[in-house]
Amino acid sequence: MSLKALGKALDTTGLGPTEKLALIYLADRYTDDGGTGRLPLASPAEKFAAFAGCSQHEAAETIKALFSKRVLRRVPPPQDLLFPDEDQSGVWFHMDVTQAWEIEERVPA
Amino acid sequence: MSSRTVMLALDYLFTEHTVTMSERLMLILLAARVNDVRGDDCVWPMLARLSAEAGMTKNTARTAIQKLCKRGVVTLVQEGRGRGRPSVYRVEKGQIMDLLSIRKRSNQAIVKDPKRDPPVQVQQEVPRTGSTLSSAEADAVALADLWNRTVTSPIPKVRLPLSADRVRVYAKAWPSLSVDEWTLVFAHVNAQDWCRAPGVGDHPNWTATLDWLTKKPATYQRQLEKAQTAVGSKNPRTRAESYRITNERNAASVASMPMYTIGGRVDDEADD
Repeated sequence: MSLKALGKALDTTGLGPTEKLALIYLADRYTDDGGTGRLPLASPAEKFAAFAGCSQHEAAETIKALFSKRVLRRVPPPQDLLFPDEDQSGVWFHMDVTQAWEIEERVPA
Repeated sequence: MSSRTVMLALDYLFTEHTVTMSERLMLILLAARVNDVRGDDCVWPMLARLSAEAGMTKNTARTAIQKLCKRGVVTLVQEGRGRGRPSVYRVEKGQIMDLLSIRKRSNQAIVKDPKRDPPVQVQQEVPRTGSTLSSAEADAVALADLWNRTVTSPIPKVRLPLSADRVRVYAKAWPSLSVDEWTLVFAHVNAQDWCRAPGVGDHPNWTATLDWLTKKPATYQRQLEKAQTAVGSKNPRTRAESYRITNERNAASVASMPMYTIGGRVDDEADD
């Protein structure tokens, strides 16, 4: 768990309950491993659905919404992966853990 | 923010699959408000602010808290007395820990809410600890567990359960050294500034990881040599092993060097 990411997730405003829960869930999975600032997660919707008790469709829509609100950014995997096959099969997220986001200000009108 | 209480709440939510989404979010938000220093685990959130943070209506937030109270993980200590005097709740960490231990012991299957729609195939969240492990998995987990118990932040711990690839790599590495030697290596790595996001150099944010350490046997063998040199080990077997490894590495590097003679390289002469 990254406490910075968790703090950011808790402080982020302008999200629906499912989106907020998804952000907290991802923050719990976020490790800042090796200073890459990226999160590899295979089948994120499936895993979040299992955690939140919602359908996979709803979970996928929620994560998609986080991308569209720019809370999450999809990034390519690093070049020096230890297990490229495993990690490239997942989705690499980037979360800016330096500050909380106010979603309303970031979504274009 | 009380990180310990939030982590406890998350652990509970990972094992309890009957909790609704609004209850989950509300428990996390309440747990985040607990002040560990005060120690009474009491919170008195303004419902309007709480519901705004959760992105839900006041009624939904109130209902979610009431359901958490029914579950026993939150207790209403004092009823609210109008505007500016919110209700006081206590996050029952003891109760949550009891539920967690019961859940882990019984290893219950997912109990799905029949009202939930649509019923989908949901993958059970893998348990964080405890399960029937194969020999390789047990070795890999042992190594990861030793790493997690030795290293400190900012060096990242290994998240369990392990992926198949990590099981393979860790299990292969585990028998190479004794437990004492692994402990020595981990402690040595943990104590090195350059392994702890030094903030300078080409990789200022780099931290050592178990993946990095076990990726190549030469890496942990080298760290073992350095660790033993640092503590002045007199173990002849280990020292002899270290010499053997060093000699092999030196021999390999010499063999890979181009050979020169007076007037040019041997390869060049051969080409001519």
